[in-house]
Amino acid sequence: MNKTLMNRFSLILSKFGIIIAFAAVFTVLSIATPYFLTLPNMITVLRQISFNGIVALGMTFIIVTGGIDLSVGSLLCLAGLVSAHYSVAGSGSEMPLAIAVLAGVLVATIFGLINGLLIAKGKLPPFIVTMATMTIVRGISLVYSDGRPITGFNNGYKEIGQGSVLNIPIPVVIFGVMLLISVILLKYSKFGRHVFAVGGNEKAAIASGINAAKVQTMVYVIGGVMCGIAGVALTSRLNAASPQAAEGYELDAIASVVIGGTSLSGGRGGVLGTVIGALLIGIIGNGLDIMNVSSYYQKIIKGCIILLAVFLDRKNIKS
Amino acid sequence: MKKKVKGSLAITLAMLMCIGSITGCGKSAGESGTAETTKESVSEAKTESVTEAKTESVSEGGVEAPEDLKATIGITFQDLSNEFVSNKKKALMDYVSKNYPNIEVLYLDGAGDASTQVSQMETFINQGVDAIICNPQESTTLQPSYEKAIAAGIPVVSDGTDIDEKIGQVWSSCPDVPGAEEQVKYLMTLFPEDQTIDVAIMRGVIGHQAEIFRSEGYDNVMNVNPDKFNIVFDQTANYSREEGLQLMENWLSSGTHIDAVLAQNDEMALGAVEAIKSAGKEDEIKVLGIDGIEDAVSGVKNGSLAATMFQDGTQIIINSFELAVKSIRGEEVSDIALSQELCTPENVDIYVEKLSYLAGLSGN
Repeated sequence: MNKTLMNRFSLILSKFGIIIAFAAVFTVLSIATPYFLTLPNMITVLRQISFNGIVALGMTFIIVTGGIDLSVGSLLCLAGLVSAHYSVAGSGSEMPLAIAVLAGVLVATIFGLINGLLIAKGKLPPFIVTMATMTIVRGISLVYSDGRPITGFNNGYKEIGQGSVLNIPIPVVIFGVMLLISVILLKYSKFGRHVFAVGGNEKAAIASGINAAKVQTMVYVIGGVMCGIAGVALTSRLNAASPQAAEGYELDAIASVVIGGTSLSGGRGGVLGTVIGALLIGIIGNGLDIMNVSSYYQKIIKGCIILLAVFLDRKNIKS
Repeated sequence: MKKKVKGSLAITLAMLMCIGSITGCGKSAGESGTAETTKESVSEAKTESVTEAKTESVSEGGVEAPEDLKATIGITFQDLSNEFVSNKKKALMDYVSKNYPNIEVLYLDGAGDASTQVSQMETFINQGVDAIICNPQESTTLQPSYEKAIAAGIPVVSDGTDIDEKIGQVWSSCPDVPGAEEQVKYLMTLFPEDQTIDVAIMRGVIGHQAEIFRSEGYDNVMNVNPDKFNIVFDQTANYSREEGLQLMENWLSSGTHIDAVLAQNDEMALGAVEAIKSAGKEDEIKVLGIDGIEDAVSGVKNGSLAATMFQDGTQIIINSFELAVKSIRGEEVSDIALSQELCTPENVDIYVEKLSYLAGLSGN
């Protein structure tokens, strides 16, 4: 009982700390350039972080169980390619939008399921499994697309990444919806409690009757779904599906989750923290670009912030 | 119990790696004597600029024709997941199968890693190939490999990028410095003479040989025309469409006036175009790229891109191949430099056609 109270306290502390960090960076950027804190720019930032944000939501579930998913970029890429293939305007393979999108999301979900089964039932380490899946799916993407990008989308498909609803970009709306679902799932459902339990202490969770393997499989499936959705949206935004898209996406997703206060060792964390983490990464890139800061410095700054986040994470475990 | 699982897992992984490396090595034996001529053929000229080439027909016998040459040539590509590079490979295999039925080409994918290419060149040397074509990822790391190959009597041809020192290899290139210069000079023609152009520069991966050369080209023109250019932004988007899009969005947020975007490759240029379209500023900002990939040429055709520099990858790789063949036959060889060609709305149809040839080829 004491431990949960202390966990909750350090969780609040770490979340609070992140909010302070975010507010600080936000303020500094707003002062440094008048163009940062404008409505169009805020909308731009939100649009930019939506894709990583969606992926990071799925990553949160996975990391809370103590796992990790390095394959997100590849899953995203393949989902984009598949959905794009069925959305080329006037082509023989053109399908109704819903089917094209579903196909893309389904592909990513299947690989998420494969990840989950190998990790949960096969008892293989998540790092290795998802690293292998990352490579395999990247290869599949290249074979599927013959190494060439897919362009020439129909208007329906283009709307997803490029359109807006009441001035809010559709990717942001999608992110918002996914966020809502994730919060409900993780914080207010039995499944969410099981996710935390498995991550906190797997043996204890099993002892109390939780099907840990099922929970672990499900989180990777959720991860796959998120990647699929993000893949479709990103591909639409770029107006092209490329077999090289989203390389390195796992880093930003993991960083968002960890900065947001979720512990890499599992059992603690939250989706709202992830959102703040993603926002933090987003405003740094955006603000520094506006100020014309060299890309080298941007890399250093971003890396330092990640280190800081992991440092804070360690401190929380000790306390 | 756990140890056993770990042990057999390790063995399985090792086996998979072995299988992977064997299948990663692709081979192509040519089809036997087809009589058709290829659209792209090579000219025998050793001159600096190769533009249109004469067609060569496959001879049916009699005098020992170059086409009957029996040899093995190893080629290591920079990164076959890159469209431009993979198009080169497809064009090469098509060319070889149509013109050189007795030459076996072993191709390997460097996957963007120079040290992988070092191993691949060692493999070729051990296999005793008759010539090596290397499309280096980097201009320095491969030098010892080149030296070993040449010392073993295997001629080496550099394709695209060359290593920094001339140690006996020949080079089939598409020079980046003059190409970039032409891109900037064309930009100047798009604006009235007395206007200072507010230009934003998108660089490629910093330190990449192409980036160094293209930046040099920019400097060459801009330094002698200092009043003509006002560089408002100068950052890297790492040759990526997504980064180019994001960077352009952020630039547009900054409120700084931009007349034109000079991108060091088409992917970034196309990303910038998307951002400009979303902001509704297509008529205000001109975007120029380099490479001449299919999407960019389409972009020039439909007006979203002002211009691109076309690199005839097909011709570059054929030049490399012919240099390799000549080296094997003991003929004199020297570098071939194929100019990058300015692709504008006026001449874009030429390039649309060149690219339609590539679109017809499938990969293996």
